[in-house]
Amino acid sequence: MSIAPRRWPVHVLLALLVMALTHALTVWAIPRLIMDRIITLGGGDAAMQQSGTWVYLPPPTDHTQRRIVMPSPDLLYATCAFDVSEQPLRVSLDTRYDRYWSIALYASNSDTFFVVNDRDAPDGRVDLLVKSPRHAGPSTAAQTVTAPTHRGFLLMRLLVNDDPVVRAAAEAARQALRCSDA
Amino acid sequence: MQESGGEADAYTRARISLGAVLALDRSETLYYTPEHDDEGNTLRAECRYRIDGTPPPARWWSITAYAADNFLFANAERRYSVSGENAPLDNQGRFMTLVGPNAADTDRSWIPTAGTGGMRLTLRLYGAGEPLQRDPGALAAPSVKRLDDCP
Repeated sequence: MSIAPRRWPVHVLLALLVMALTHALTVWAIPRLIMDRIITLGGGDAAMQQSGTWVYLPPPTDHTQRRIVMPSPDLLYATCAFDVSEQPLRVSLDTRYDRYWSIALYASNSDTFFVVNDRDAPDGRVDLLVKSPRHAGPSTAAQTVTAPTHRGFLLMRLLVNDDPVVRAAAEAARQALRCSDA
Repeated sequence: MQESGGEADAYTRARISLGAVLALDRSETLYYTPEHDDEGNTLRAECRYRIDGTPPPARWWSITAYAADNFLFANAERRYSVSGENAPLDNQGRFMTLVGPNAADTDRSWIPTAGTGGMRLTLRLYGAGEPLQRDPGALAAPSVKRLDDCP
């Protein structure tokens, strides 16, 4: 069987179109698939969550950490996977950690949509309501942020070193993080 | 405290997701990830490199070595990075550290590597100065020199 000479340009164009669509779909899907895995893992270890909140406290970073690429060995982390489709998320912190720390919120397409750090909150307090665009109404939180996607991920970073006193202070600071239904 | 309203394009988002997912934007952190030495050769885990430079203008900085899979090299000493807190400075205010296998155990500023294959270094700058945030390419980057022939 052979392709009619006048039809091969159509087949080439169709093949190019399929290739372009496949390429675009792959580029679109990569960050979403990676974030889906992170969000699932980030909230999946109930044994290590604090009672009453969804905060996960991973062990200090070393070469055995294989969950997220390029982990920083100089940071201690706390994470919180969330879904604000039904109700908003309340994020709170009250700490006196006097070194660098930050809390970043990521959408399910991997975009960062909010960051607060120790210089933004010199009193060590964060009181944040994370909501979906369809949630209206007043909030008692100090600040409200609208999540661009329902599912997302919170990552708290705390700068540490080998000093046991610093390590203990960072540990106490991350344990002060709360993620809960608003 | 800030909302990050800017959206990355699809290619940037995919590239960052593969190599540096959950990174922060430049107002918080700058990341430099050289994969080549000063001669343009690809960095390799089985080679030894000398990194030296002046402390970058940032609140805090570190250099970390990653294997080709973007995870930390396994090592019994649990040394994975040097930072502005622990990198010794010479009398001209410059730091120097070694990266690679088989460095002397007494060398305080050494990041061990393991195995063979590609590797990458990551320089993180937390709280970089505003001029550098506006123009990250203006950084006086540390030099990365291979010390000897590799296997």
